[in-house]
Amino acid sequence: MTQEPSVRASAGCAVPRTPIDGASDRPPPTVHIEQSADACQVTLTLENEGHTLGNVLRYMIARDPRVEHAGYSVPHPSENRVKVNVITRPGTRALDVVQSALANVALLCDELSGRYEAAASGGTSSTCP
Amino acid sequence: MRYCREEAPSDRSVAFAGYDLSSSGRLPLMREDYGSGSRIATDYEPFDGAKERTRLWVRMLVQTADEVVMDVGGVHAPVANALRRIMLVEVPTMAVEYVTVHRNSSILHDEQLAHRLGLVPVLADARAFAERPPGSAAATARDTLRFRLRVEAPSETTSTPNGGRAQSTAVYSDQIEWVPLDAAPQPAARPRLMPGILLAKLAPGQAIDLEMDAVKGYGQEHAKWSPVATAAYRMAPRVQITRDIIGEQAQRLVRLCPMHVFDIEDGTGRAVVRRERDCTRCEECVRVVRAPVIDTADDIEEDEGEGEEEAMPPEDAADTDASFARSIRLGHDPEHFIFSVESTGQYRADVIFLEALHILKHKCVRLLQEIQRRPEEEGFG
Repeated sequence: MTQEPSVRASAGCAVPRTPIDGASDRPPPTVHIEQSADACQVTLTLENEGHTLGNVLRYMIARDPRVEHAGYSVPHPSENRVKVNVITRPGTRALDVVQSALANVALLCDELSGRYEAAASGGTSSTCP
Repeated sequence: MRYCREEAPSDRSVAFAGYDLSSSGRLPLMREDYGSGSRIATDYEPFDGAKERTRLWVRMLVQTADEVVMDVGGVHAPVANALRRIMLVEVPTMAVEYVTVHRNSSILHDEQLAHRLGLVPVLADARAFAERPPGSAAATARDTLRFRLRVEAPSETTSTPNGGRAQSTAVYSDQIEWVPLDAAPQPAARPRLMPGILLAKLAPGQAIDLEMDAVKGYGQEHAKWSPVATAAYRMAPRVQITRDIIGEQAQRLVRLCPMHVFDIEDGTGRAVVRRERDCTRCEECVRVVRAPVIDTADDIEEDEGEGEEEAMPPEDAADTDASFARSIRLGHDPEHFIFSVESTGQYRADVIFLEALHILKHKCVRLLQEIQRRPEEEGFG
């Protein structure tokens, strides 16, 4: 079913496959961190983020077995802000869990990019069932 | 793998009056096999990079400049949804934002014309540009593409075959020309707007003369900056035949499905699932149509309590008269997404998904850096 790119491809501009670092000129993320005394509970308030990052972050945090509770909310729909709340089991710093979750999402993106590029360039995508 | 199990709501038959979906005691969906789709995050197994790597797979189904359809497997809904949302509103493009009207005697108001211009895709790679600071008057080649449109309809009214009425002059996006800013080096391909788009029609003597600045932006702010016409996914449908359906019944099943999912196996005459992907889960194949209950005025009162039960087919008659509810199970694979991405022209469609992955990764990495940079934070309170 794979077709050759149609004429419209040349109608567009020459777009390189590999992304130019487009995200770099965005302002640095604004995050407010609230921690409990024992560091087992943390609430991150992320400015200029919404369900896109909130949900994927909550999902990845909740996959961590050290986590007791993970939740997120967009407190008001007209404010571009998301709160992510994490409670961990005693002995684990909640912020550590958040950090490893962020790293895991980044890792997942990298892996998926590799798979996608292989599939897009007509190679064997991987072990599809 | 653990999935969230859901009991069939007892009032389901009320919600779908006329159909009975719960005659078998539960919904005829393979919820216990494939999950309902509404899983909670604790149902997923702990993240393990190596294991995750082996699970992921991607298969291209359609790959053209305008459209990509692909299977993405081994990811869960939150990730798929984040990517979809990023493709829609967070992949930057260039679009006309500032329009300086020198002359506009066309029937279109200035603001209406400017709005139309904004929606014309600018064929340039926004990733090579910087964001123009809001309110900044000075446009530079780094953050702006300037275009000019100058058209004038001929003024003399030449007599035409249709009763001397003058022809209108169509203005197309092809007529827009790029104006190089400062001493910017000429790019190999001249930036331009998507050709072939009708912008206005001019009566004789009318003219449009305007300059426009295209700047980098995000679909979050206005849809004109969205690089996609649609970016959507659906979970891959799963259809199982749990009991053999043969002969007459098989033929009836094949006819029943509006999406032609089922076929009959040569030789055995058994119904088989042939085009599982086409299933829309309309549930037509597992629907039980109740015999109409005709209430006479006298019956109404005594029927009220039991009427429903009487109308339902008897337990053992399920597959013989009306439905395949006990022989077919419908569901979907919660880790297999069929993505469909249509580009509006700024990027090749196959670049957009990759760019979304890149943006999501960047979001996480930059947030991670920001958290690590912080000293120990203040407590609650």
